[in-house]
Amino acid sequence: MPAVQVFQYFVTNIDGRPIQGGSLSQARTIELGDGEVFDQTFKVAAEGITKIFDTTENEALSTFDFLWLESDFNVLVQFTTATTDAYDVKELAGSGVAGVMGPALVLGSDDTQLLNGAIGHVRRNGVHDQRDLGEERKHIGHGPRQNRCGDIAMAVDYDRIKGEIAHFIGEPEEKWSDLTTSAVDFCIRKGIDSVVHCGMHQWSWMRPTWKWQTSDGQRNYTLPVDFEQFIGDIHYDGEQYAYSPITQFASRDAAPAVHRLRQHRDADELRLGVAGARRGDPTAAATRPAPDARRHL
Amino acid sequence: MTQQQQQLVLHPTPDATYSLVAIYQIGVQMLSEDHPYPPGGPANGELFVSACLAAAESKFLDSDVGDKQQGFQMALQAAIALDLRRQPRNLGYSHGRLWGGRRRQYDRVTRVHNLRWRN
Repeated sequence: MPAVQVFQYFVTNIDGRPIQGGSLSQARTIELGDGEVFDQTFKVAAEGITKIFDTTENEALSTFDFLWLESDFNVLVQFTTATTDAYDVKELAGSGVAGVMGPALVLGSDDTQLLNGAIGHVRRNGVHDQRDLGEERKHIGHGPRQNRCGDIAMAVDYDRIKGEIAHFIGEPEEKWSDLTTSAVDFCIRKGIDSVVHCGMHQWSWMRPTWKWQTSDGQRNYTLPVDFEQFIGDIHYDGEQYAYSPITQFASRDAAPAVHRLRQHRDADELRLGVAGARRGDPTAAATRPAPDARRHL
Repeated sequence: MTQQQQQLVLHPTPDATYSLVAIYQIGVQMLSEDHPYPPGGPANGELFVSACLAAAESKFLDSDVGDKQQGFQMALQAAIALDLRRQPRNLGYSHGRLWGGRRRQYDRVTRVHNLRWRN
């Protein structure tokens, strides 16, 4: 049976903390019943409205299994359900550069949940270009569904885990007593700990890489929010990659040094156990907790 | 009490812009409304669900060998296999300098030549 292999991956770096998700090597598979694929490109004038498909006019698109929609300029996409004519409008962001597509809108089925709990199906969608001449492409595969995938990238969060436990114990969260709430929190804590410290493997995602740049004259740098401790030394990157690594001192050694830092106006008098303190390329580092407010000590 | 972050203190004070890189261990926080996402990204989300359900099975049913526990062990093995495939096989090019000599900086490069990450 034909299938679509969807590769989804994102990476970002927020305040020095790299965050990534998805995979470039592991694809999500969406099976297509009959293997029909439609690939269409539309040119939409500014303030123009274009109907992309209408199931009353094209029966073949009535039960698509996979929809990929992308645009080079911002457009509004309206989805209309077949059962009640309810509609939903989503903004599809473009790159802003003609011919360069923005992030795609991906749907794994035409199912849509209505407010009354009924399941509707996307009947047609239209495109309203807000800003400029836009170009849009969509790929549609359809057919009898073998494996419905309504939400491809479903994130697991605190509420989802509590909901799963509530389902397992057969008692909704609204009816939990304090004792049950405490027991569920214990289960979540134990569950996370059993993964993080599974004893069989050192997770790569527990040891992310932090890259940053120094500034001339700046001694202190705020570490990532989730920082616990360095694994090994700090290394130079880029053109200075061959420099000797920066050795980190234990916090107990750093405390007197930080004290001395407060005592001396000339920061170069700070000595972290290395002789010949000077201004130049760092050779030593120490971590310390940053105060969360102004304190008088 | 607000969240505290640690600071890095460099010595001597940098006299220019240097690019630095380090690997660090993350500190895992208990999930809450303020920290709703488990570590590991979406790829490991279901693993944490199964782990918490296994813990719930043990807590509420007083059973350590139930279906949820078995499901968690299977998910754990799969996640470990996936994580191993994501890791690099070596740490890069050593520039062919086999021994450090006077410039100690090459010692590090030599030591990591074609070595696997430790697990």
